[in-house]
Amino acid sequence: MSIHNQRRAIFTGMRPFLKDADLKIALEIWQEKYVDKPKTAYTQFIAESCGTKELKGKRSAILNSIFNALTLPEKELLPDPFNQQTNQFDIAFIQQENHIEANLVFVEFMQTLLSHLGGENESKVRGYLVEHSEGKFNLNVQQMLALKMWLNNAKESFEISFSADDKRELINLAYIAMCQYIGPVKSDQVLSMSIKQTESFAKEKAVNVHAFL
Amino acid sequence: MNFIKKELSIFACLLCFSTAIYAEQSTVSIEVINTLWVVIAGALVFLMQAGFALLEAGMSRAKNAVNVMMKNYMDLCVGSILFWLVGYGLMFGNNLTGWFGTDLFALEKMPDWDYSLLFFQTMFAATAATIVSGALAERTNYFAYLIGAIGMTAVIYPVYGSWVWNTGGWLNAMGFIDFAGSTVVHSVGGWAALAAIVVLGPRLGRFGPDGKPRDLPGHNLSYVAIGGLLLWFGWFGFNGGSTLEAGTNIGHILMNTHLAGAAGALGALLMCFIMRQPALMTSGVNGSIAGLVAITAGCATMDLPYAVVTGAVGGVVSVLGHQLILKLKLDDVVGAVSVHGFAGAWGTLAAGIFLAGNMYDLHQIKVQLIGIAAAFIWVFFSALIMYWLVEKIIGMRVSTLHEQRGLDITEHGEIGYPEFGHASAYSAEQLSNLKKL
Repeated sequence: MSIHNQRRAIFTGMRPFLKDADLKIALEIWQEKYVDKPKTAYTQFIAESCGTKELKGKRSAILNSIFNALTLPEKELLPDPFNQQTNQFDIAFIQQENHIEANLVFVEFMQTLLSHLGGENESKVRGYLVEHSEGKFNLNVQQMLALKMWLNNAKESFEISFSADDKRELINLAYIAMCQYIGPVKSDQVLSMSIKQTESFAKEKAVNVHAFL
Repeated sequence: MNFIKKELSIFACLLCFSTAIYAEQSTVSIEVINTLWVVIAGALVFLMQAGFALLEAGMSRAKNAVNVMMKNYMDLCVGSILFWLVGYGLMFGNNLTGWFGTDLFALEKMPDWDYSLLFFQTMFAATAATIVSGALAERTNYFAYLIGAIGMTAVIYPVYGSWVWNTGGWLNAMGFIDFAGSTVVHSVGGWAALAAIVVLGPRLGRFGPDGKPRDLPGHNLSYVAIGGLLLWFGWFGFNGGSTLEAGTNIGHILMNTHLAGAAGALGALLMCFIMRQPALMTSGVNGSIAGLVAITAGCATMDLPYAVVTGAVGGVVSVLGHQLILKLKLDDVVGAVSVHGFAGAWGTLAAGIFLAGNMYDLHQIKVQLIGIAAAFIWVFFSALIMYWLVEKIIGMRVSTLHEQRGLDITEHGEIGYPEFGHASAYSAEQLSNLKKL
């Protein structure tokens, strides 16, 4: 694999986990110290570039994600982030044109739901969603990446268009994760509270939030 | 003189005639009284369905209450018809081999007394089938469950029943004692429930990531208590009616039954106290039912003090059995396996140990153990195969979205408490907005 494609693979693998600034620093570290090192050195690279408390717990997932990206066909890799023309740190490429009200309500609902969990449980549920969302939704590689970034808190907004079935599927996946980490009784309460809190916003947007369930 | 002779002969004739009439009337009266007792007892056993429905619904979450009720309601309907069509013949038909009956299928006409027997036995079959429903609550495909109920009432229950209660059955020939069905009805239901929960797996989140069980409290403990009391009431018909005649021993049987139920509740709560667990209502109610299950086998052949011991140990078994089920990471929503399976096995053994006039007879105990083991082997494995096939062909388990919504909505399209749904994400007004699954 060429260095150019290796960089694209590392970018693709780390993208779901790191915020833009952290990702840029990580790629610079790789460029400077690890570009000519074998794959066995990637563990050290991850340790060096993912030093924050939040990222420490995700190191093995990030490493797996990079190794997966290294096996992807070239066309599925994200464009080279250091190419000035494409300017890949601009995340516009994952935005969709059909930015509809239902998606806004959905995002609001999901944020409310996850915020009810708080702290450790929120990050566990987010991690579960990242881990289990692969292949569940009708999304292309870039959309899936955007979803994972959002779930990993690497990106605040989430602008892709999600079908009604996919929305339902994601909420159900979150419900399964909640049942696992906080138990079914609390999960039902969180689901109910989130629906009630999102109802007024949904009414403003003329969207029926109950249809997501 | 002739006049006197004539009068005396007329008097003698009248006396003979009236005696003959009296004899005929008393014969008719005994059959009428027996019939009355057996059909009333059968009706009491029918009432146990209401007890099961309330108990199981109360122990389930509100979003599954309708589904639990519907399972109890419909397994009675499906089970009754299947037992009449197939089960009764397998159980009470001419049993030449010792393994199953070969006639009396789908009976059309029969002597009056046989209608009473069929009615009474149909209620028993429905009881065996409905024991399974509570264990599978909150995550079972409704139609898959009903197919299981068909298998139970048409084949699994009657085949074992024919071994014990058919005069040609091989366990009957060995002298196996199970007067009203600790094993024939209750353990059979319990072992089938065990097989079903093995195939089905636990509800979402029943066990945490560390493997420890989580409490999923039922939505209505009042239902649990009323259900328990209704079952207790019905048990007087279950055990008392098993005499199949209005004999003078009914009082003894009912007193044994009642004391064992009371001792079962006490035994369960004592066990909770020893294990430093709170005295939960569910433990008390399940303890009393376990006591009733345990005494069912020996209620006609045991003296009162031993009925108390049998019931109390039954209550203890229900608590310990439930702990064992949890350790095995199995999810039995109402404790059916421990209450009906384990306590039923204990009660059947106790019927041999405490047999009045022949206590602690090792031969009898051995026969009892053979009967208990035979029930487990036949019922558990045949039910396991049946539920495994149902799982492969139809799917036993509902999807996770069904579990999220609750089976009232996904299986029946309605909500049990439409006016009190404030704590739920799903309300009756929004049902039409949900995508059909």
